Amino acid sequence: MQNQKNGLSRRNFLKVMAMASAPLVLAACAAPAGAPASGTQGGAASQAPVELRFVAMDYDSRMQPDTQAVMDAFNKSQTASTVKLEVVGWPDGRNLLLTQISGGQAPDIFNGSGQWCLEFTSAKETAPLDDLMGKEFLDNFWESGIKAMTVDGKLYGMPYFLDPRGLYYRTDLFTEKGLKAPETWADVREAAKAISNPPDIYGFGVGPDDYWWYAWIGAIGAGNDLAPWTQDGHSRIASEEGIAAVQFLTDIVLTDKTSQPSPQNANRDSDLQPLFLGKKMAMLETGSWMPTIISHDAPDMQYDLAQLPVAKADMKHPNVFWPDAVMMANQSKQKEQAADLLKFMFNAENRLQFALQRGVIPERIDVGKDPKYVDPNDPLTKYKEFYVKELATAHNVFQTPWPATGSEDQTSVTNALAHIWLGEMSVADALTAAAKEIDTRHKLT
Amino acid sequence: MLARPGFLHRLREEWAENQLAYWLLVPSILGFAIFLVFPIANMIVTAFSDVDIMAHPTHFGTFQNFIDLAHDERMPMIIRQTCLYAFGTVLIEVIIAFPLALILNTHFPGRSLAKALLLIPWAMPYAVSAITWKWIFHGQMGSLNYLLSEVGIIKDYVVWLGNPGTAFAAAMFVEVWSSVAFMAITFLAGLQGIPPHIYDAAKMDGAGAWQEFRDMTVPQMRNVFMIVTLLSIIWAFRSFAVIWILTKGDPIFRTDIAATYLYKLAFEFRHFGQGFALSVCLFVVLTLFSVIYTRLLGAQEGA
Repeated sequence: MQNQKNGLSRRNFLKVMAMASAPLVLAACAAPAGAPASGTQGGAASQAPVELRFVAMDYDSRMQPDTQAVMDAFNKSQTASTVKLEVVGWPDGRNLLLTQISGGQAPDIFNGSGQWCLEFTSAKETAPLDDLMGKEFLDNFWESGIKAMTVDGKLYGMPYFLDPRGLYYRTDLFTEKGLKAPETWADVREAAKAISNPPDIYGFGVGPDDYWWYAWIGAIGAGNDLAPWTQDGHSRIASEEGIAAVQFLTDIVLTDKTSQPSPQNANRDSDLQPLFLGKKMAMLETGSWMPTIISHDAPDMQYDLAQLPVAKADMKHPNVFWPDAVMMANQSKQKEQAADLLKFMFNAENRLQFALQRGVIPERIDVGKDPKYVDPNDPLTKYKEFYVKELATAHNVFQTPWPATGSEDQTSVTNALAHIWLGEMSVADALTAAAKEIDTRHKLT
Repeated sequence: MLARPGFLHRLREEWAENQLAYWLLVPSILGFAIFLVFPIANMIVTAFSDVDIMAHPTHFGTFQNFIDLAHDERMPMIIRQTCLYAFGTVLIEVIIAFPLALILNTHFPGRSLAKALLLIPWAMPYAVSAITWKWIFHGQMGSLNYLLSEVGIIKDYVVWLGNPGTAFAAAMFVEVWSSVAFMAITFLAGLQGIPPHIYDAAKMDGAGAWQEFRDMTVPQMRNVFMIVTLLSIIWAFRSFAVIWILTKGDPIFRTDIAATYLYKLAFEFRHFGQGFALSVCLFVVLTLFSVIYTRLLGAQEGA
C-alpha cells in the first residue's frame, strides 16, 4: 500500500520519460543552425561556390592566423570556391585525419608528415597531383622536395616544409675554452667534456628519434647509402656503422656524462630546445627554425651553426630531413578547385611569407633566391643560406620504399637506445635485438 | 478464478494505453542505440575482423587479432602493470581517504574550508592535473627537483619521468592525487549517514573508540566501501589521460597500461585489429569483475 501511494507507477514513469524526451523530438525536427530555409534552397544551390576544407597541422602559435590570412586571400581572389580552415595540433592530427578518412569525411586538402603521405598513399587515400598541378608549375620546386613526395613515379603531396638540420653551438663558451667549431664526433666529445658543468650547463643534447638519425648519417658520411635498410629490406641498424653511431651517443651519455639527464625520453621541442634557449646547453643539433626562435626567445645568445658532425675527419658532412607535405584526399569531390587552392597556397608570394614566418627552408627555388628571403641586412640570412646549401645533399628520412611498419620500427630503435642508456643492455646486444625485431616484423627472418 | 491475460494481450493493452509515451521515447532509445550499442558492436565486430591500416574491416570472422595479441611479448608486462596501477592506486586511495573522511566527520574549526580544499584536485580535469604535475616532475626545470635540492634531500636532479620505476610511481601518485578526494567525500557521506543513536547505544554499553569503529563504523560503511572501490578500480583500469600526458607509456612500454597500450597499437602502430581485440578483452574483464564484485556484495548483504 505504501509503495502504491509513494512509488512511481509504470504509467507515470512513462509520462515523465515521454515529457523528458519531447524536447529531443522537437530538437530533431528543427532545422540546424545556419541551414537555409527550405524554400530558398533550390535555385541558389547551383550558383553557390564549392566549399573546400583544409585541415592544417599546427606548427606554432601563429599557424592559425597566418594560414587563415592566406585562406581569406584565396576566398577573395575567386568565386568558384570558398575554403574553410581547421587548424589542429600535431599530436592529434594524424588520428583525426585517419578517423575522418576512414569515415568518408576526408578534408579536401590537409598537411602532415611525409610519412603520413606514404601511409595514406599506400591505402590509396591521396590523389595524384602531377596532372592537376602541371609540369610548368612543379618546375619551380627543388627536385629533392618533389622526389620526396613521389611514389612510383607519381606526385602525391606538395612539399610544405623542408627541414635540414645543423649543429648549434655557443660561441661564447667555445671561445672561453679555446675550442674550434666542432666538425667530428671527437670534436663534439672534447668540447662537451670541456664545457659541461651540470646542472648549470650540459655539454651536448642527446635524445632518441632525430638524434639517432644524426649519429647514423654521421657514421656513414655524405655520398654513401644512408638508408637504414639493405637492398633486400633487412634492417642495417646493427651494422658496423649502426653500432658506431649508437656507441658515440652512448659514450657521451654514459662514459663522459656530458649530455642532459635521461636522454631516453628527451623531446627535442619540449626538453632540448628549451635547455639550449635557457643557456643550459652548449651544443644542440636541431632544425632550420632555430635561428628564428633564438632571435625571439634569446636574442642576446652568442651562437653559430656548423654542419652535422661526422665520425672521421675525411668524411663529407651529410644532412637529413623529414619533409612535410600538403596532400589532396582521394575522396575530394572537387579536385579541380582543391588544385586551384594548392596553386594559390604555393605561389611564390605565399611561400615566401610562410618561409619567413616559420623560419623554414623554402621548397620553391625562386623563393630561396628572393632578396626578401636572403636579405643581406638580415642577421639570419647566413643561416638561411647555410640550409639552402645543405638541402642539395640532404637525405630524405621517408625515402621509399618506406615500410608500413615505419613507426613501429622507429620505436624498436628508440627502445634499444633506452635499454642501453638505462644500463640494461650493451650497444651491440640492444641493436642486434632491435634489428631482429624489425626483420621479424617485416617477415624477413 | 479468472485466467491471467496472455503476454500479447497485455502488450496490446499497454501499447493502446501509452502509445504516445512510447513514440516519444523513440529518440532516446535511438540515441542509446547509436551512442552506446553501436560503438560496442562496432568494437566487437572489428576485433573479429581483418583490418587495414585505415581502420577499415576487410573480412569478418577471424581470431587472428586475438592470436596476435596473445603472441605479443609485451602483453604479460602490460597486464602486470595494469593490475598494479588499478589495484595499487585504489588501495592507496582507500588508505588515505578513509582516515581523511573520519577526520572530516569530526567537528573542528575550519572543517568547511578543509572539505573545499580537498575537492580542488578532484574538480580539476585529469588532463590539467597531469600537465601540471608533468612540469613539477620535469627533470631539469621541475619545481620538485629544485625544492628537494634546496632543502638538501637530493644532490643531483632526479629525472622522475625518465626512469621506469620513478615514472610509474609518479603516474600512480598523480592518479591517487586526482581521485582521492572523490573517495574521501563519498566515505564522508557514508559516515554522515550512520544513525548517531547506534553510537550512543554503544557508549551506554561501555564500548570504547576502537570497538565503536570496528563494530559500528566498519560494518555500516561496508556497502559504501564496496561501491566506491568497485567504481574506482574500473576507472583506474580505464585510466588514460594521466599516463598518456605524463609518460606516453615510456620508457620501453614500462609505464603503459592496457588503455594506453591499445591506443598505441591502434593509432601509432596501425594494428587496429589488435587494438580492438585488446579493447574487447578489457571490456570483458571489467564486466566480469563488476558482476563478480556485485554478486559478492549481494552475498554479504544477504548473510
